[in-house]
Amino acid sequence: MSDSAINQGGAAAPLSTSSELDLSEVRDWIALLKPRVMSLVVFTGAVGLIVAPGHLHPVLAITAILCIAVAAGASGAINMWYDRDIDAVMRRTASRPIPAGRIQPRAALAFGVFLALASVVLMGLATNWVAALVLAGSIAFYVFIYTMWLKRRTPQNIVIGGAAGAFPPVIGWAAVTGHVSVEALVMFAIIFFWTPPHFWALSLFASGDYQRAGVPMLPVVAGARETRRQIWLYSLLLAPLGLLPTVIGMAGLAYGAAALVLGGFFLEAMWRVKRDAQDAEGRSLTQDAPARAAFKFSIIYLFMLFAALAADRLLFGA
Amino acid sequence: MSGRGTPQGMTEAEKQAFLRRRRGRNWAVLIALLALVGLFYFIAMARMSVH
Repeated sequence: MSDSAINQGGAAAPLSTSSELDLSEVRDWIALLKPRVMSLVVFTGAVGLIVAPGHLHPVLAITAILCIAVAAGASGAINMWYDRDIDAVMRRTASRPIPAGRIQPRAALAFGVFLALASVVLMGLATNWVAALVLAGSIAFYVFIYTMWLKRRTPQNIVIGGAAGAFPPVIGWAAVTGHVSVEALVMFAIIFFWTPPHFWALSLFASGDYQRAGVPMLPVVAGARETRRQIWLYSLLLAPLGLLPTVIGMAGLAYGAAALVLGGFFLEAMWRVKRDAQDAEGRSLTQDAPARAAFKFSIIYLFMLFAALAADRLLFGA
Repeated sequence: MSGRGTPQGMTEAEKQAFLRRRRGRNWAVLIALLALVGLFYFIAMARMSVH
């Protein structure tokens, strides 16, 4: 934390020993952890723990989930440190603690690095070092591969970078079993192929922001029409992929039925995006209403798909 | 930015807000440290029970 945050003198002590006063509130530090993103990460990680064969002491399981959450938060904090220049020019992110001047960049970086190291060590001590290694890999992937390398260089940033968000169920699985098997990779693949349609739906109605910031998101580089086409192609891959847990015997028919129905709704939502009324250049004439709806539904889809996977395991022991 | 600079340059209201924010952060650090102590205790107990 910053100088003033660790000031031991209480309220009567000098207000600050540094030239920069710490104007942050606790909620700013929480905001650095991107708590809204964290919920999906924690949930999929927990499902990885639930569906893995074997048993983990409840305290250790909760610790593993906590480590996944803290690692995701740490990645988010480091991402906000690195992206503070583009966050400042994007409407959606301009009020974040660093661009708003409430947290100093170096303090955010130190906070992120500390939490990243702490989460990996704690994961290793509480569960096993394979899970800790995968956790470290997920942080490194998000920070170095996605944030520092891909995000500003290629419109495929989301495709490859999406792997970072696909790690949590693998980590949960490894925490229980001590290894990474094909079932864990299937869960990884589902989130990996879910990420492009999810983020490109968002980028369709936030492309102005990305353009201002110079981030080469697909709608900025290739246009909205091509983005809608790619969203549809990835959706066609994702829908059958959702059935894979049943096909390989990792889940039962109850999950398979749920995945079939959810996949159908997902395809319908993305088909509406593809068929959105648009002008000659592909710009939406409906203010991207189908993309907004598809973005929201994509979150529900992933939550429900993984909930079905966990329920299948808990109720039917598949 | 409003409020930036030395504490002496702050108005009384800004100073109070600054002190309130710092108190909040210090409490959060204390709670986090206590939670960590508790967590390590329970992890140790759980690991010993497993073995």
